[in-house]
Amino acid sequence: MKKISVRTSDGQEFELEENLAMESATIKTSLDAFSRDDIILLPNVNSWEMVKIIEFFTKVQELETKFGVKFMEKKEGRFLEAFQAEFDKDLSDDNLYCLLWTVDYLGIEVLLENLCHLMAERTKNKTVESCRNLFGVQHDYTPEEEAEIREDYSWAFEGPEIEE
Amino acid sequence: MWDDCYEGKSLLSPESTSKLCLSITHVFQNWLKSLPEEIIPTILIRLPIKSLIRFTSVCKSWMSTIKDPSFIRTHLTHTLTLNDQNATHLILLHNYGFEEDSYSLHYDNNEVSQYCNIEFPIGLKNRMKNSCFRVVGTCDGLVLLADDLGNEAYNFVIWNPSIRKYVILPKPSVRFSTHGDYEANIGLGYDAIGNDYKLVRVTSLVDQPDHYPRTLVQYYSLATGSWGMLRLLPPCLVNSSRVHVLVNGALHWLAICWTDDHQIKYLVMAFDVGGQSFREIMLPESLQLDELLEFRLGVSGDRKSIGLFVRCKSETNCFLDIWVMKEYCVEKSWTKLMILTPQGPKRSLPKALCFRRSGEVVLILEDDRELVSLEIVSKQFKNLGISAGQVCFVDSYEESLLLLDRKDAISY
Repeated sequence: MKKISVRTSDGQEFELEENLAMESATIKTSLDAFSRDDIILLPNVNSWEMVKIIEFFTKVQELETKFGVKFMEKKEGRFLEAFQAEFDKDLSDDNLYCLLWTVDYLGIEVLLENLCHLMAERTKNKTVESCRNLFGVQHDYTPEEEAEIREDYSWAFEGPEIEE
Repeated sequence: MWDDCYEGKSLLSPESTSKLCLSITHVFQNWLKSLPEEIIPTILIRLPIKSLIRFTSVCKSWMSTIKDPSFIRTHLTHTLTLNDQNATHLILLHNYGFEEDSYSLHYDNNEVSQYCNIEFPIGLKNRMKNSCFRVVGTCDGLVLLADDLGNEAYNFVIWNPSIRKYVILPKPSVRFSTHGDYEANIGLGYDAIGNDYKLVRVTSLVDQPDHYPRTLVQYYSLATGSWGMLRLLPPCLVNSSRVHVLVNGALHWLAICWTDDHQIKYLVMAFDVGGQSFREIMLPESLQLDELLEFRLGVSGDRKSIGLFVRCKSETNCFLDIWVMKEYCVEKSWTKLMILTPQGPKRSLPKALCFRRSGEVVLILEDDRELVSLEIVSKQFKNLGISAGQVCFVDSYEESLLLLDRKDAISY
């Protein structure tokens, strides 16, 4: 199996198996344009993110063997639980956010779906303020507008499951 | 790390400087890395309804994404797919009795465990002419409520309990004061062609000069917020059983036809909501028609066809037949699954309510009004731990955001 070399923004080099590298639409485009012997530069990708991505593919191969199913075809359901349990730990909200950006940049569809699911799980019980912080969203409501929404849907702002 | 930098209040060491630089670069990079617009809906679509409603206040762009009709539609489709894959489905239960009028959602599992209680909009209670609204049916998270028993009651409400919003419909044009006495049946269905939800009301006027009832078909369109009349003649009259079945995009009611030799024939009348057309579906051929029979339609367990419950309680004859049409619209495929006879020491005959997805039948026991689930093959009864009141409604339900984009919908 041919290996593709990539270099991340902080100067670290990684060797990826060709079939895994091709899962990234961005890398695939580069490979089509240039020679496969060259190192592909990824200035928008950090080394820790690359480590996580390689970890994901390794995990996928493990799960495919365990469940006997082609992971790429099955996007939700039981597979997701197994994936989530492994991937979720040691990944802070901010790190997850960054990883999501990077995976979208690299165009790795299957991992993107799973990260979106993880992100949704992390976000669902947040307050409005912490949600804004996580996504870096500008608060563009006037105090009156926001108060009106809170009054109309007060039930959605209350509940034991909402994190402080 | 800051302590590192200010070692003994001297200048920054080279080591600490590079650590600091890396940290600043990292923060800078994170700030620049704002998620592209297209990703946000992909994340939002996976959020539960309560979170989505709350997050409409995050910012204006999130509000417009969440309220967008195509997002609402995609969210519904995503929910339905996920429910099918994980086999987690919900049931809506409405129970009205002497001391209670409660609505709740339950999991359609072995224990029928409660998912959540539903708060009924208080504002509606003041409008009621009867003692409670009856639940006519559900469709994509919308619940059709009717307070229409008796001559002057025409209250119809389309309600989404998941987002606590409802729409009160204007009065229909066919009423007792304008058209005389009639039998009416209503149902709510999705018009896939017009991407609209329609309440269809079939009224059979009885006070006609030639004694043959005339049938008028009206519909209320959720998209336009108004009633219309269809220039269609359904093949038969509706039966006042007030039960309809929504399956395969069509509303089904029991109806009566007169044959050429003036015999009465019972059949199922199906109205395709999108195509706006009627068709007749014959009942099982071997069914002996009798005045003493009570009929009730239901959706089949696999949600692809219809079922029929035939109950007879007389001096001479006492039975509950459970039929299913194994292949939708193929009349030869009507199959009698089971015959129930009076049970227990009091010789009571249960009434059937509906089929569950598992194929079990939900029954109300006659005397104590307990709900039980009957497994057809093993003939095992399972008590669901729920008491049915005077009025009891049980049917499938799926949560959705429908009505969120409706400006005239009332929140409570």
